[in-house]
Amino acid sequence: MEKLIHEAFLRHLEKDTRRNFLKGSFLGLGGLALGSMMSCNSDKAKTNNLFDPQNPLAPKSPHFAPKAKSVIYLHMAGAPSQLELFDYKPELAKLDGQDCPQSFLDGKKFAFIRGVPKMLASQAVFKQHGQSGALISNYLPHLSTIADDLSFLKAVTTDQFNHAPAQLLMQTGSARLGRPSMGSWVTYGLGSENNNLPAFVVLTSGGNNPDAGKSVWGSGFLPSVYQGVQCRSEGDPVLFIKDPDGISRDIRKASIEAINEINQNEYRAYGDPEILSRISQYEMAYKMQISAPEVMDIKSEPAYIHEMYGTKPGQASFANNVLLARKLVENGVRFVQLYDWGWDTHGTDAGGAIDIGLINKCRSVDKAITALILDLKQRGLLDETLIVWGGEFGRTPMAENREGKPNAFKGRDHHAEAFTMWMAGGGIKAGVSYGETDELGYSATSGRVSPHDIQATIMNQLGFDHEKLTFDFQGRSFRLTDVEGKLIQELVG
Amino acid sequence: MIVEFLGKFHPLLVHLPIGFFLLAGFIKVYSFWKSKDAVDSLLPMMLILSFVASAVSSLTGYLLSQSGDYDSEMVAKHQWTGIAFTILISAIYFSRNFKRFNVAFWAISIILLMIVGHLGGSLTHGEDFLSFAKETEKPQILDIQNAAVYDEIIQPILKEKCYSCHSSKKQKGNLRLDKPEFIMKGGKEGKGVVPHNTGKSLISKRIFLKESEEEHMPPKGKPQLTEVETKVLEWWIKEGASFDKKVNQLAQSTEIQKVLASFQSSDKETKNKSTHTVPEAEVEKGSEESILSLKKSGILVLPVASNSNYLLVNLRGLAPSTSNIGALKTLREQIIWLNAANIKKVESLALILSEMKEIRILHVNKTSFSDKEMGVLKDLSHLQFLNLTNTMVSEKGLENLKGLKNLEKLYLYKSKVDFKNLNFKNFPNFKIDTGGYIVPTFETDTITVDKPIFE
Repeated sequence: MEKLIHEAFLRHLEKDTRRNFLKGSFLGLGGLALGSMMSCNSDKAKTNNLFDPQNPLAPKSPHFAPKAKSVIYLHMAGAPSQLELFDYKPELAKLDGQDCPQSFLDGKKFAFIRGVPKMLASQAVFKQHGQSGALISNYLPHLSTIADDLSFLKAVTTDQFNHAPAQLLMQTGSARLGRPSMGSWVTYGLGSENNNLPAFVVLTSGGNNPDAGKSVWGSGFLPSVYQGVQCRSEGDPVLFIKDPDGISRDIRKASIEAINEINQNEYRAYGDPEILSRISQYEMAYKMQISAPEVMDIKSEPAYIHEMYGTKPGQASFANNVLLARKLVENGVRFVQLYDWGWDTHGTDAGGAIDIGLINKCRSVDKAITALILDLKQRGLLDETLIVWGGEFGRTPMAENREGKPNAFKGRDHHAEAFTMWMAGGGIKAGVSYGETDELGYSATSGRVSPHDIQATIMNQLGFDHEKLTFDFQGRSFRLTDVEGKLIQELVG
Repeated sequence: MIVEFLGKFHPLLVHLPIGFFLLAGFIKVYSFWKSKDAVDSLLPMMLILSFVASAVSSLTGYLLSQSGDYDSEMVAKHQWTGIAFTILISAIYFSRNFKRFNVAFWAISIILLMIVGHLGGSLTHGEDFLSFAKETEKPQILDIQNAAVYDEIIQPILKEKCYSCHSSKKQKGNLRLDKPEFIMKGGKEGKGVVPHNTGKSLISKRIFLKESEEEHMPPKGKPQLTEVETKVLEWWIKEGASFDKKVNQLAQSTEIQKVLASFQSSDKETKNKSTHTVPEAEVEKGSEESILSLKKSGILVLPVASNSNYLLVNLRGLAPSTSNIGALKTLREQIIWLNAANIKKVESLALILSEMKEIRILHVNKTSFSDKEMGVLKDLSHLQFLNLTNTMVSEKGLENLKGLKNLEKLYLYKSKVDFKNLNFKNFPNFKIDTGGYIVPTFETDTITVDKPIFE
C-alpha cells in the first residue's frame, strides 16, 4: 500500500519537471493551432446537424406533416422467395426442369449457381385475393385474407447478392459498414415521444442475428444515442430490469445521479458528446425500469390476443416479437425493427427447401403478421403505423446447382434483380400493386424500385424529405439515401 | 440552311450589345466626376462595339424569325425595338459633342434596351416567365370516369409540357398544340395525331423515343412527361383521339384504369391527403408561455411540421390539470392533432374540446369518454379521424357525429356501441371500424412439415 502511494507521489512530482513542462507546452500549442484550424469546420457542423447534446432525444418536428408516427419493419433475413409467395409466374411452370436460357446467364454472377441451371416452377398455388385481386400463394393463408390492406412492390431491385451487404444496403442505404441505420436516422430526426422507452427497438428471432450483425441497427457516424436498442426475445426482454436485492429505488436513483454527475464533470472537461449519450442512456435505463416491465411483458395481454397472434409467452418466437412490437408502438416507440432468420432457401437441406422449410417459415409468421395488421387497425393505430415487410433480395427462377450439381432439395439461389416487398398502413395507399417482372420473374419490366426508393418512401411517410435530413460528417452532408432515392409516388397517393 | 443555322446564334449574340452598351453607359457616368481624358477616349470605341454587336444581333435575329417558330406579333415588336435601339446607339455616337441631345438619346436607348430585352426574354422563356405569380395548379379531377378526356386530362398535360414551344406564342416545327384543329393538322413533319394509330401519330412517336435521341420530345433539358402522362396520351390516341368524349366512353384495359386512377384527386382522396396535413391557411404562433407550461407538466407539444405553427399535442396519458386546461385553451387555434388516450379524467378536457375547432385528429381511446362528452364533438367541423376505442360511448352518442362532413374514419372497437343496433346507413360519410377481428387458427398453423405437401 505504501509503495503505491509513493508511486502516485512520484508521478505527481513528474508533472512539475522541466521535461514535462516542455512536452506539455509543445503539444498544447500544437493542439491549439490545430484546434483553431479545424474550428471553422466544427462551427458549420453545429448549424447543420440536429443533434443537441444536452437533450439528444427531445421530440422534433419533421419537415412536413407526417402520415405515419411509427414504423414496424419486418425484415425476413435470408431473403424469402418471391416466386413462392407473391410473384405468380405461370410461364415459369411450363419451363420447369428445362435448361435456363443462356440470355439469363450471360454476364451474370450468382452466389452459388454455376454453369447452366434448370428452371424451377413455383411450388405454391396462387390465387387472387380481395377486391384488389392481389396474388398471394397458399403459403400465406392468413395474409391472403387481408390482401386489400397491403400494397405490393413487385419489382424491387438491389445490387447486392450476398446477405450482409444486401441487408446493410436495405437498412443503412450503403452496402458497406459505417452508415447509420434507418431507425437511427428516424430517431435522429424525430427524437422520442416517450421518455421512458427507447425510440428505436430491435427484436430478433429465428436463432440468428442477421448476417450483417448489429450494424444493421447501428448508428454509424450518428451519435450512438440513436442506435437501435436490442431486446431479448426470450425470458426478460431487458436484462437486469429489476433492482437487485437489497437495493431500493432511492439508492438506485442516487447512484445513477452520482454517476451522471461524474459524467457531467467529464463532459465539461472534454466536451465529448458521447459522454452525454452515456448520461442519457443511464437516465433511460433508470426510467425503463418503471415502464419497460409493463410494456415489454406480453403475458399481461388477454387470451384472445394471444389466440389472435398465435403467441405463447415465454417462448422465443417471431409471433411474440410481433405482439411486443404492437405494444411498443402503442406506447410511442418510433421504430421497431424485427429480424427473423431462416429464409435462406437454397435447397441444401429440408429446412432450406422451398417446398418444405419455406412452408414452415411462412407458418411461423403468417398468422402473427396478419394479426398485427388487424389489431393495429381495430385500435385505430394502423393509419399512423407503417408496416414494411421484405427480405434483402429475392430468389432465382432457376434451381440452385451448387458446384454444378443439382441440390439435394428444391431451392433457389440469391437473386438481386427482382423481388417483392409490401407495405401496409402509415398512409400508404392500400390495395396497390406496383411494378412487374418478366414472364419468368427474372427481372423487372416496369415499376422498378431500389432500396433507396423504399427508404425515401418510408421517410416521406414520417414527414421527411429524405434529401434534407442530413448529418455533416467528414466534411460533407450525409443522408440515408446518400445521392439516390426517389419517392414511390404510386404508393403514397 | 446556313441562314437558319446562323439565326440560332441570335440568343447568344444578343448578350454582347447589352454588355458593351452598359459598359459604355458606366464609363459615361464615371466620366462625370473623374478625369475625363482617360475615360473619354474609351467611350467612342465602346459605342462602336455596341453598335456592331447590336447590328449583328438584329441581323441574326431576323434570320431566326424566318423559321416561323415564333408568334409573329411579338417578333415584330421585338424586331423594331431592336432596330430602333441599334440606330439610337449611332445617334449617341454622333451626338457626343451636343450635350443636351446626347443625354436624351442615352435615356431613350436605356429604356429601349430594357423593352427589347424583355420582349426577347418573353419570346424564349414564355410570356409569364417574369412574374411573381406561382404556377397555377392543375384543376382537380373528382371523378375520373366522368371527366372529359381532352379538356380535363390531355389538354392540361399538353399545356404544362408542350405549350411553351407549340402554342400561339411559338410554333417550333410549325406545330401548335393549343387547339384541336392544330393538333390534328400537325407541323411541318407530319400529322400530330392520327386517330387509332400511335405508330403514325408524330406526338406519340416522339414522346416514346429515348430521352437521349435528338428527336425526343420534350427536348432534353425541358420538363419531361411522366410515365403515366405518356401512357395516357398513348391510350387517348389509340382510342381515337376524341376531343369531346368522356373517359367512360372509351375502352380501358385494367392497366390504363390504374393509370387513369392516378389522375383522379377524388373527393375522398383529396380528403385523405389532408388527413394529416395542416390547414392551408397558416395560423399565428401559439403562445410560447402556454407551450412551455404544458411541456413542464410532461405534455408533448410540438409543431406538426417544422415550418408550421399548427400543433400536435400528446397528453401522454396524463390527466390535464386546471392550468394545463387553461394553456390548452389558449392554443385552441393551433392544435390540430390531439392524443388524449389513456387519461384518467376526461371531463375537464371535454369542457374545452368544443372550442378546439381546428382539430383534425383526435384520440380519446382508453378513457371514460361517454355519450355525455360526445356533445362537445358536434361542432368540430374539421375532425377527420376519431378514435373512440375502449370508451364508454354508445350508439346514442354517435348521433352527435352526423353533421361532421369531414370525418373519414371512426374507430369503435371495445366501445359501448351495440353494433347490432347501429344502423351504418345513418353514417354514410365515414368509415366505421368496429374491430373485433379474428384470425382463426388453422390446423396447419402449428404443423411442421418435413416433406413437400403441395402439388
